[in-house]
Amino acid sequence: MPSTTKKKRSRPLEWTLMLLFTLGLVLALAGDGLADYLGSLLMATAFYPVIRAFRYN
Amino acid sequence: MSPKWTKRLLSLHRWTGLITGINILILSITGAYLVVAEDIDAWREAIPQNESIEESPLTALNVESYTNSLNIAYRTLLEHYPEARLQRVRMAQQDSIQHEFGLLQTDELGTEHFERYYVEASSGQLIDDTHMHDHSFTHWVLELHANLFLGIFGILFLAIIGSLFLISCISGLLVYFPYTFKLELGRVRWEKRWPIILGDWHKLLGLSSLVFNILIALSGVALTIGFLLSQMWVLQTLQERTSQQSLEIPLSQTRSLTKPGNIYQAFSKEFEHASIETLYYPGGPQGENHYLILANASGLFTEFIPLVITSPIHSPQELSQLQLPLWIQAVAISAPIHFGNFGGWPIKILYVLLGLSSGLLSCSGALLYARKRFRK
Repeated sequence: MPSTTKKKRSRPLEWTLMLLFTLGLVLALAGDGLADYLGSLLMATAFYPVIRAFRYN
Repeated sequence: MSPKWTKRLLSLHRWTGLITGINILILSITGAYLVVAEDIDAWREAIPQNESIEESPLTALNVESYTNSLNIAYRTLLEHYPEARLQRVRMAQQDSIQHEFGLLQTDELGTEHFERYYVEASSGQLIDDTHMHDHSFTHWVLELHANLFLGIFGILFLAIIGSLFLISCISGLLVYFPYTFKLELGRVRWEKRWPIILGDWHKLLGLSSLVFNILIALSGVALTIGFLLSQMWVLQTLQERTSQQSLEIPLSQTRSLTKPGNIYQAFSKEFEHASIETLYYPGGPQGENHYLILANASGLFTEFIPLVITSPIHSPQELSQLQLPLWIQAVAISAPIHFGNFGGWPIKILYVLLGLSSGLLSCSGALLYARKRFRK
């Protein structure tokens, strides 16, 4: 298991990202046009941890 | 979670990941290609698709001109290939401007060959042979992705792989999620040795693609097992229904076939907010005495659930819809979730990236295991 000295986070952002992805998927599935773009934008938040990994370093 | 359970789950995650690893890598690469395969094929073959759509949008075609184009194409094909038998017509949808006619032709040796012919939806004119689709590579990739060239056994094998992948995702979540809270989100410990860096990336990618992977695994299993079961249900129900009806039809009166445009016209009157995707001529799974129509309705989520309609050969205007049970409707909805074809190019790009990250996950997981195994 990763041993890290960073303090424990209080807000589990991961859950929020997963929820956003799911909402985006449902929105894109249900709608057309603008809903597709909004939905894909919400789904794209799944890559936030990866983008942040590049920003860190 | 107790250390004992953590160890068990970790072992489950490791072994399910290793068993599915190479398959997931193949499925992720082929799946990523298949998401954009249609666009690549259209671009590669340079069919003047977009130009024609702009000039004469399909939406502008009324029922009459659409019907005429189907009937003209039918007549032209019969003139060109009098010995051929029309098997099916894939009708032009919003994203395509041509109908696809599937003909069965018999050669000198008596062997039947299936040939596709494309006609313009606006005019009904045959599209030049040089513009015919060549989907051989895409078809090869599709076969690899859908059944590993093993037919029904490949489908069943992939259903097991999909289930194990689902277990791998969930066990990974349960094992690693409590520990991710101790790390800053997006932290990769570059200062450490490569196994730790790789482990951090494995967790990051796993987290990013977790919901996607779970959905893809679930919809993949639904499309394998569920699709087989739903196909069996539809075929059995169709055969029961059409055999009952065919008893009332004198076979001698059922030999003349109607033009596809006439069926389209009857369909448009009865189902205003739906469009025919494929029209199967008698001789298909529905039997010798009926036409079979697969159509799409419009509406929230219902656009993904096919309408299955039959009409007797002696009276093609009498359409009768097959009521699909809820579980088949659920299987039908899993298809767009798996294919990523429900929201235009942004969703396709996301699906390609997320699909490829699943392949990277299996590679990094295997490397982490190999390092641990051979270090001992």
